[in-house]
Amino acid sequence: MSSIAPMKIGSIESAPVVEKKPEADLAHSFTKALDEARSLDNEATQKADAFAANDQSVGIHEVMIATEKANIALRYATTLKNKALEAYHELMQTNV
Amino acid sequence: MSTDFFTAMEVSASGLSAQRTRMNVAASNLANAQTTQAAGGGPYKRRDVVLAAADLPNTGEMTGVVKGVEVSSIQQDQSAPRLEYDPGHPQANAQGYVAYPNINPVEEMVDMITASRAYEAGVTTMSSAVNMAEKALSIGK
Amino acid sequence: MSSDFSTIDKLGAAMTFHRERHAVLAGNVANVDTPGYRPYDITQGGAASGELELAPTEGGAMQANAEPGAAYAKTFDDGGNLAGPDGNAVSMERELAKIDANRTRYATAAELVSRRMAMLKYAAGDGSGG
Repeated sequence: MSSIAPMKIGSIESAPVVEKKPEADLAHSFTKALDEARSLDNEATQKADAFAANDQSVGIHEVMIATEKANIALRYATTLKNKALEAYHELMQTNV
Repeated sequence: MSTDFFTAMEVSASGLSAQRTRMNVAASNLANAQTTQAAGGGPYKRRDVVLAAADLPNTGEMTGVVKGVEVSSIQQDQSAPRLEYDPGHPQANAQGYVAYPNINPVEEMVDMITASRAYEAGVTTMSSAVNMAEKALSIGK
Repeated sequence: MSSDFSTIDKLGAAMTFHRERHAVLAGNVANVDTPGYRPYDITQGGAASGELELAPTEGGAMQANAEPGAAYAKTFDDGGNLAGPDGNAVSMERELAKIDANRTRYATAAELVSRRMAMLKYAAGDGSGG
């Protein structure tokens, strides 16, 4: 985070804007995690469907790993969502 | 679906039953390899098990590809008995020959071993079915 | 997020197929010494959704199943075995290997059903200890 210059009385207009670093943004992480979860879920579903059709090119380890990955990604995205919600609630309760 | 694990078990059970019969018959042949006087007169006649594929009831749309096995008959050897020259033997005929069964003990042993292996394969197959059923029951646990 | 049961249904259909196939393979094992017996096998006729498919496969296919929900192609599968002197073409080792592989696919499908169910349960409870 770039440093904030001390504010001088009467110079609010000249106060520097705080640079926003996207990587540190919780909302961004959550969106990323959601996309990841969605994509891994599609992959797992695709593999499971192929496995169910007795496609011999999908090995049992492949489909199991894909399923567990999707599982973990879902849980991670959910955890982030819960944290984001928590942060939001905390913020809403702050007396301004 | 019309077959279930029960049908698969019946299939395997029919195999076990048939192989046991083969083992019993081979054992009987072995035991009677030297029997010159069987019940009904004459030397013991070698017995042979004839197997045939059998359809099971309630196979529905799987009829034709799901086959059990059955002993369709137990044949008695009708060929002429093996003659051995032994004039002093109580069962020797006028020419001094004794009639023995046409039994080769080595053949009978091979039959027993073959039947035994097939029996074990049937047991393994049955265990697979049980294992699969258990996996189905564990869904959601 | 696939919150529907379609994949689970497909896995269930796969389990049905593998169970039926076990019965066929068990029959091959039971007939390992039957004169003139050729081993059978079945394959999923591509349409696990119940579409009717008369799919004769190469190498001596019998009539394909024509009833809905059971479009399995029935075949002979000697596996290149020459029949013995009594006409029996069963290789016990081959059948046992098939049975084992079949059982593994069945067990994996069952496990996948369990895990996908668990995921759906988790999502339904919104990860709050559901």
